[in-house]
Amino acid sequence: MTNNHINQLFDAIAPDENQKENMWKAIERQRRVAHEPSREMRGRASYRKILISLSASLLVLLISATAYAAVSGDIEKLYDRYFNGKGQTVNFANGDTLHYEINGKNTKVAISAVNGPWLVKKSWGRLIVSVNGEKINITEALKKKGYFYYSYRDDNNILHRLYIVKNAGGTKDYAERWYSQMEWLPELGMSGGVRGLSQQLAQAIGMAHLDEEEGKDLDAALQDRLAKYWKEYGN
Amino acid sequence: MDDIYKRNVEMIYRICFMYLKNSTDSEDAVQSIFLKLLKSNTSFADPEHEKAWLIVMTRNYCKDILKSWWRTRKVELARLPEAVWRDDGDRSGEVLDQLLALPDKYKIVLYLYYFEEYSVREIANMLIRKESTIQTQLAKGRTLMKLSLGGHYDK
Repeated sequence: MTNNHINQLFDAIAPDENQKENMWKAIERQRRVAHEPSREMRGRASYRKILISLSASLLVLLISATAYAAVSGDIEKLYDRYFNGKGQTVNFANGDTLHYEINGKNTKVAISAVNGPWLVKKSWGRLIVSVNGEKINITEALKKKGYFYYSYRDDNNILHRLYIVKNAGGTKDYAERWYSQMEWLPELGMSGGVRGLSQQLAQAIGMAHLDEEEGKDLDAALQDRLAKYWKEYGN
Repeated sequence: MDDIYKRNVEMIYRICFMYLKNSTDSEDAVQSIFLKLLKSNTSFADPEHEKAWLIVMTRNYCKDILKSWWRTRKVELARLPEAVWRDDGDRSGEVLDQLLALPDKYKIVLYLYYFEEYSVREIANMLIRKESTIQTQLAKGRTLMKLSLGGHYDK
């Protein structure tokens, strides 16, 4: 390589080791999501409805440190299948944690008391979401569709789906920002990493997932459920 | 894939940065390009073939991104990497800014010719242009850079 000033300039435009590692991790994660079949629980719609209800309850209780829910033995088995043994901690992208334990017929769910940060930052007029080492410009998605979601599997192979969704903006809607943040665990029907989320919006997203499990395309289901939510709870 | 990434990530990032002018979008683009490579199941005859394929792919990807963006062309100067200069470090940010401000067609040609050391003919084949066009763009790019650098570069 000719050692001249132009080359020094080009040489300076290089990712540092951290950037390289983070980009590689993000590629690996996306590749894993793309190639691994989803552990869907088709035919378990009734369980899923219960799980969504459980999750919706948890959303209300997110600010408290611990929530308890009594669930049936079948659901115990369901959770036992996806969690290691009788309990496991799930880490969300914003640092929130959720610990789940099965104790006899009682299911104990502990959620971190401190709300993690927003994953969305504003940069030069764009909304950039940072998740798992990736930085994604979601401005267009929010502008055009009103929602953005991103799926990945964590180190324990649990599927996560991060949602950033436009709020309806009405009086029943929580409006810390004009959009809300939620991370959903589709295979477990649980959620965390929440910021500025109303129960109404959480239910709309949860119901869209239920629609998906009943065979509807997720985007179509989201558009349908969110349109109703925006109409009902908007100004 | 790991090896292809290690061999090419810096080059792909540089090309992305020249077009997109910020690290956030460049990182996103690098990820998308490698994912496209994975999905394409392309096999390469040798590392040179691989490199040339990635250069063309990266350039096309960035051009598509720029076409579709509503984004302004404003660049956050604080996020530009700091070039290291031997003799006039104070001007590094300014000069890098000048380089990035050059029209894309000159930047990519200068990069391939000087940094990657491709010949004019090779660049012409890669970018599907006439050799004379590449020579003209190289000369124009050099002139523009010379004006920016005040003559501080070697031909």
